Amino acid sequence: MGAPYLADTIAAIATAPGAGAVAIVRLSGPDAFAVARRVLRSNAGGSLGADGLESHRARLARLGLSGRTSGDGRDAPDVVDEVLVLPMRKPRSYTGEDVVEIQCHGGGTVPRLVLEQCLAAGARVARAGEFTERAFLNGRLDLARAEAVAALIEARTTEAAHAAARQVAGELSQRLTAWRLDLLDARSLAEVSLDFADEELPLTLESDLRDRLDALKLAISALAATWESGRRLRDGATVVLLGAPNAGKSSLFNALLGRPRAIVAADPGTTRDWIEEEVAIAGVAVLLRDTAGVRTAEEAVEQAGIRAALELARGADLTLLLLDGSRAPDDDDRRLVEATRDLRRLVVRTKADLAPGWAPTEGALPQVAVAVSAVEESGLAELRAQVAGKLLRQTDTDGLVVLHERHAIALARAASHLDEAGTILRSGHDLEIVALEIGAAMAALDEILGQCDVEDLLDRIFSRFCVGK
Amino acid sequence: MLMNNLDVIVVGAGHAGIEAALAAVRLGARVLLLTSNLDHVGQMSCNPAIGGVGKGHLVKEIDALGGEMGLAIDETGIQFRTLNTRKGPAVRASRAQADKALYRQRMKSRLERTPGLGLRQGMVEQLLVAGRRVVGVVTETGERYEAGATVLTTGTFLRGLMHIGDAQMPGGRAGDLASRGLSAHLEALGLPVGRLKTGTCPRLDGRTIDFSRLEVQPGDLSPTPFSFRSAGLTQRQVPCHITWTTSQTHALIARNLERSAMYSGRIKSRGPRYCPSIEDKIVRFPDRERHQIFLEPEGLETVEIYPNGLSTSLPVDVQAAMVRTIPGLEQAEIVRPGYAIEYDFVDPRALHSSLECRTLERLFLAGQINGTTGYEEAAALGLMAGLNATRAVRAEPPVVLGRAEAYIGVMIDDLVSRGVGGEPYRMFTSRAEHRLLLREDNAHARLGGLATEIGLLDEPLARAVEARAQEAASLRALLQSTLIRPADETNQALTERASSPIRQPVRAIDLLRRPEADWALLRTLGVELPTDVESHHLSVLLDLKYAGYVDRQRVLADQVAGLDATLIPAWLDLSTLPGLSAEVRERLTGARPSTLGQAARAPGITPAAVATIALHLRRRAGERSRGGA
Ligand SMILES: Nc1nc2c(ncn2[C@@H]2O[C@H](COP(=O)(O)OP(=O)(O)OP(=O)(O)O)[C@@H](O)[C@H]2O)c(=O)[nH]1
Ligand SMILES: [Mg+2]
Repeated sequence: MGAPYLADTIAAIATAPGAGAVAIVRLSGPDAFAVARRVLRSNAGGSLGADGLESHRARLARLGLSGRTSGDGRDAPDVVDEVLVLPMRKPRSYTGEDVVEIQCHGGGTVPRLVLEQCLAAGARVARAGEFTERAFLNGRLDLARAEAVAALIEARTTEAAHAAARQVAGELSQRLTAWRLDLLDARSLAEVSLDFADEELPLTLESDLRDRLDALKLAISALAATWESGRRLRDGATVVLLGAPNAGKSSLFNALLGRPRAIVAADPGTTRDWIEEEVAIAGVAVLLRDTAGVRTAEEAVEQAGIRAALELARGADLTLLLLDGSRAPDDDDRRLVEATRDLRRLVVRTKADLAPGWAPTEGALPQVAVAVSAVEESGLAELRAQVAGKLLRQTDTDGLVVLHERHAIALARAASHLDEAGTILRSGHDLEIVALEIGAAMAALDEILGQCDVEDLLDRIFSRFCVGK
Repeated sequence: MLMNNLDVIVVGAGHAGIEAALAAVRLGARVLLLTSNLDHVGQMSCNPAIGGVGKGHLVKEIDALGGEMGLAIDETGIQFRTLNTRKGPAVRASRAQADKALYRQRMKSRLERTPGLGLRQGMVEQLLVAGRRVVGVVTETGERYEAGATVLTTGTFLRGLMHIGDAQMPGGRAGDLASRGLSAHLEALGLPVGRLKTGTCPRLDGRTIDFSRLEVQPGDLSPTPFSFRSAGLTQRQVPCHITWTTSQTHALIARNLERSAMYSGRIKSRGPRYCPSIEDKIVRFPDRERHQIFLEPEGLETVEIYPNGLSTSLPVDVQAAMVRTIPGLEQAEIVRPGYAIEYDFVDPRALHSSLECRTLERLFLAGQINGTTGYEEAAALGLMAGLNATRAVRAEPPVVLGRAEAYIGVMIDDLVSRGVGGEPYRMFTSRAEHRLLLREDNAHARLGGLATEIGLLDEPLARAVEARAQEAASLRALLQSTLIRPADETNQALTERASSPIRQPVRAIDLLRRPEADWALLRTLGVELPTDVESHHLSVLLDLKYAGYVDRQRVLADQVAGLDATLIPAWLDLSTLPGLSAEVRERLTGARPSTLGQAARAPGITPAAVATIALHLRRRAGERSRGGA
């Protein structure tokens, strides 16, 4: 017989664990203010009093970190932290409920003790994502924004965080809502001549409808196409270094990392297995993989490594194919060029500091994208830029990118329904089917905003949120 | 017939009351039908037509449920047309001009000849209430009638007030008295009574119209009847005519606008947007150079003409001058002026989906009292109310049609979960999210089985409906099994019809799916089809052609059915549910959804709110099952 849902008050540490100077413990729920009163005391040491917590006004207070702490000020505990309290009355808060945020000293211990005091005073610990879930249930966030919160928390680079923040701020929702209205408009153009059979309607109605559908389809599919970039922004991307033995893979790997992680040696076949490290390249969290040099080798271990390298390249977002600039390309190089032809790749000429062993225009070899020297650390900036260009496509969506596969699928579906609507309209067939397709496109957008299938979506989405937001 | 041991009393003999009474009688109920004027049974107060887009669909559904409207219009219709023939199968709709007087007479004599049905004149002023239950009615002359259930179909008569210019006349419609006591009584009983407005056109003397200068709008050459039961159409067919307003019309109206009852501030309630007065059209669309007017005959034996599109509440002198600014009407005489009418209605959110009042058992409401407009909407509601009133008396569960099952289901669900939102509710096909499933041609296929099962169809009719379904099944089997081989003549015939030739044998069913293919083409190719496929099996053809879309709508309908199947139990108090905004709570309290589907469709209900209710239901269900262990 649990307490009714949303009737209880939850608490959690809202800031990232670790060494920050300040941490925030957040309370949300009908008893948030009461719990805060129980754990807080005025600086003079007495209870806060009835009006001690004024909404949307920060105040200083004391909070006992051990022993019994009660608002009546008896049993003064030994350790006391000075805290900054920000009370927010519903509905003007993140969750739409009464919220109290307590800023205490950071580190591993103090925030945990503050949380424990709150729990002892009647709050229960929040489940993962529960603050955002409540914000959604109280109508403070639509689904797209709630999901963006998850993406924001998971963001591993500033750029990813920025993209997510724009959606938390509602930019995606706004655009979808605007499109939804446009679709509604378009649909009304179709519906009016269906439901009002004998009326005199403007002759331009169908061409108007056609134009609107085409424009919407373009805009929506452009946004759908940003998912490839969005996924890489959010989840990062894998980039594999591939090349003949001794091509300079490990050297470039280290140069991009900025530290000597892989063993570099003059003997070919130094790297036997692949190794990986994360490095930020133009805002993308890149998992960089150094592989074994690929050639027709006799040694069985190396053979396996080579197969693995090609396998890795196939699974990666981008392959850097390294050609040793100090010697003429051989059959191994040509085989690699061939084997990676269909992959997303950049051809990199290494050892640019040495005398060129082949002319850049040499036939049968693909265009070299960039020449680098690991020794002189030259060409690295250019390489980073090229990598970013391959990983993040230019968009014509004013910088808005899709950060969730669910959104991308729904957008693509909306676009394909609009495409179908346009085709039917042009073929002069049933307007009724055109209306149906527009309706289906709207339903697809509604899925992103959370207007249907809410039940199924909820579990999937909220299980992904971290504690504290 | 003795006026005791009544099962059902129906108040009002308009389109709703007639269907309510007849449906109840079909189920074997003893029925009393009370009307304030026996000469106005089945009166068409507004335009002389039945059907139209969405409305024709309702008539077909009424017919499939054993109702009367389709048969009556087939017998008294004087022009039949199918609308939207080129816009898609589901919006194709039937419409007919009626001879109003014939229609009235035909309905009255049908009622008079129906055993088990008593038809009486009497103005009901009060209900007899015992506890929470309505047990009968009292007329203004003091007669008391008791019955197991009561159906109110009082149309626009509740506190009806007509406006012409600055003149105001109480009345249910021109020539009929308004009911004054009843709506106050309903209000006193706690029903939420509101006010709506509608209007009608002046009627013209056809002898003063110069038809020779006007565009003729003929009926279809070989019209199809509305009713499954009609053998054919019997009345002489006549055309309508079309004319347009002119800049003089618009200038005249603009000059006199403040003399219109609608614009002088005398009428507070808003008129329907889909049926605007001519004043509204000119104010709201000042750029339109002209507005179309259909001149519809009111009957074969009368000279009265209904100028459809000229609804107005201007003073009579302005109406007369306005009419004469219209080509063909330069000499036209008005025989009855147009007017606006305000009347009381009961917010339909006070009703269950059975049309029974939530707070007053055994009281059912149907027709314009529910805030709808239109003869067809009224008739459909009447039929369902008569059906469910009878079932209530017998302690049988109500029949509620789904949104993917019938327009009637869409309408009632809209009414009870969304209300009418300030203007009378009219059926549109765009209200139905599963439009492709709800076609005129498949009304019997959709509803025939149910109608038979609940006893709305008599033996022979039930057998005929069943036989039709069997024929359709064997026709589909025939198409499935017939192979068309790529012979020269075959391919030549295909090419002639702009259809691509075939190289391998093709099943007739697959050939028929081609957009350009029809029954005639199959016949040309030597397929032996029954002679009545064109007239009787359109739905077989349309189901095939739109199979992909129809399947898609089925899937959607099934998903919605999931939400609709999730009942919101009475113990869940939506007005105090945590996690809902005050606004949402207020709207939910007004809408009183009984399923999650209804909650989702209620206006202003956010998806988050639906999710919240769903979460509560799930959590409470979990607690209950745990708690019960
Ligand atoms: N001058 C010069 N030498 C380089 C450069 N990059 C790599 N080398 C040398 O080339 C040799 C091979 O370098 P590695 O980075 O180990 O090459 P690798 O591709 O990882 O070789 P394997 O792991 O054996 O496949 C080493 O002797 C490096 O010092 C460069 O940019 N300039
Ligand atoms: Mg190496």
